[in-house]
Amino acid sequence: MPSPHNPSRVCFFGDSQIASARLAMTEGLTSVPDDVDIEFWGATGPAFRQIEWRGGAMRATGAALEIALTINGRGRDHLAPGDFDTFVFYGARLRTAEFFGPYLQWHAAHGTFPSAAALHIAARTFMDDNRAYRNAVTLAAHGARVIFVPAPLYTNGVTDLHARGRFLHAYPRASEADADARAVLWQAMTAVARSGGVTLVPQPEDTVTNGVLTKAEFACEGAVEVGDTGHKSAAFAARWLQDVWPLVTDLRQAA
Amino acid sequence: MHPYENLGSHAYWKTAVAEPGAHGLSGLWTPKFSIKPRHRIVTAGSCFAQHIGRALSDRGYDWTDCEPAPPFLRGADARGLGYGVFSFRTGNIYTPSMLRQWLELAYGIRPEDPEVWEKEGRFYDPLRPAIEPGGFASADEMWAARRVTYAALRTAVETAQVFVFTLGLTERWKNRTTDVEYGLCPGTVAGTFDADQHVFQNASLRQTDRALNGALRLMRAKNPRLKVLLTVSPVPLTATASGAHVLVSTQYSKSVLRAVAGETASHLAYVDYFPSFEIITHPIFRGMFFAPNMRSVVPEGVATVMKHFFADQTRVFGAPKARKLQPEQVAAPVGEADVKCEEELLNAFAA
Repeated sequence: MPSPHNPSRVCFFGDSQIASARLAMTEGLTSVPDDVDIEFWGATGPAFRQIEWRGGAMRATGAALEIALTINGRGRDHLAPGDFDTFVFYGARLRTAEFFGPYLQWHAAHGTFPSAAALHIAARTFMDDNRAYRNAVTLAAHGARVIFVPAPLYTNGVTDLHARGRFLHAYPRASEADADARAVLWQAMTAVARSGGVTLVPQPEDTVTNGVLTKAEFACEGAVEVGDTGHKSAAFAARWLQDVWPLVTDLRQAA
Repeated sequence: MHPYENLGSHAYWKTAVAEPGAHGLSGLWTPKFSIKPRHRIVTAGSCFAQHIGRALSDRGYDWTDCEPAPPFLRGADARGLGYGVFSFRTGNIYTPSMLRQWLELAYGIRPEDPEVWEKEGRFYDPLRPAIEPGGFASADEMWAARRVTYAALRTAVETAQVFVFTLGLTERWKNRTTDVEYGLCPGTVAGTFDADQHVFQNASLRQTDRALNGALRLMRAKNPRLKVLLTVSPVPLTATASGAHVLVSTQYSKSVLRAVAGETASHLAYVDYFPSFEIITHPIFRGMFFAPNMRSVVPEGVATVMKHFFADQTRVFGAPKARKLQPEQVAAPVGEADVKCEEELLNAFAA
């Protein structure tokens, strides 16, 4: 039994996507495990780029610092490896769709994926291109326990994704993908993350539709009005967090 | 009056070679057909063909990659897996018979042989054992990758306007029972050498000629407008299994390939021969285009070859109109070490 006097400290770090996770918790849509103390930290919009690894910690500068302090609400101006028992990177600009779109298109065109070795290198390149992911690996290398929940697939039914310049215009055949094909890509990403000491949590299959999209029911509030295919609802976050909490607990027990 | 009167200066050694010297040579090639930047060009063959593809691409020519690297596989990672090296992911095709074999397999003319090489739980393609340096995860994965390459090869043949093929070797290893020609000798990179099954052949002039012309006929049947530019790799053999000295074996191989290329170009209107072999290896250049190992071709050699290529095209057909390039169409510079030469793996066996 965890001690009530020594709660597990968990930090959710991310961009605007963490809002849905917070809402899921405050609205009681997800059951935070007992004896877990959660903080949020991060920055929204372009300010997210002003968070970098410096001096042994993730630090925010400029507008990002102000936003991070507001999100956190406890005066924390940086994240160091020992500050928390577990870091949950949430969203954090690791846009799953940018990897899934071209690869599911490739799969449909060729009837197969490239070799597992090629896919592993590609997944590593895709993930290493993302600064937050690099920071996650750095945190892990400094002994922190890190879980990564990448940005979800774009939402179906919000806007015409087949229109010129939109996602399905570029990757029309990605919508032919089935769960097996998606599983191959998740496997590649989780394997890369594992090699970096990070536990990556795939988007739950029951939230996916049309091959490569998130079900319309998980759109964020007002998504259609503003054409927001990226952000999701609190219910969506609650569903994904169902898969995250056991890992938080497991990691805590393993400590 | 006799035939040697009134010939151009190019016909006399004194005026064409001795007086201008190595750096003053011109008119080495009188191309049969124009190769313009807008023409869709594909390249295949031995190591040296990689230089030609990249040089054409760098000059804004439409060198076409029919099997581009999958997304997020870039630069050295992609080349390490055989992407972007030739116009399709066959790896080096050293012999004309290997080209014919690839084509026959891609078009289903030749039955697929189920042979797969296994080493320490990884699977290797006998036609291109070095294409996945760590091997494939399974035989199924290997066959899936092979089918992708077949499709790319068909696309290349059927959509190209110019097919550049560099002949590299006459020495080859085959399976005695199935007649499959291997990319490399079994047992060197993967596979297990079996003296009863694996047979060495050093192709004769006639065999080489038959193989090359068979490949050309097949390609023209699929694309009657296709033009073919032949070159011979100036790169010597890494090793020979012929029993002769490697220098003598090299000379045999190159002589056969050069003769077949020349003979083929002389009787087929759609085939031309470009003398990159002569530019690199001729004594007039005193070996200056070889690295100290007298095998690798230095960048200056490639540059000189391509200078002659473009100059002679311009001399005969006029200056080409530049093609507007998209930023992603500009190839990254590549060093000598980036040229993929699987045959060099045999160096590991040098005492």
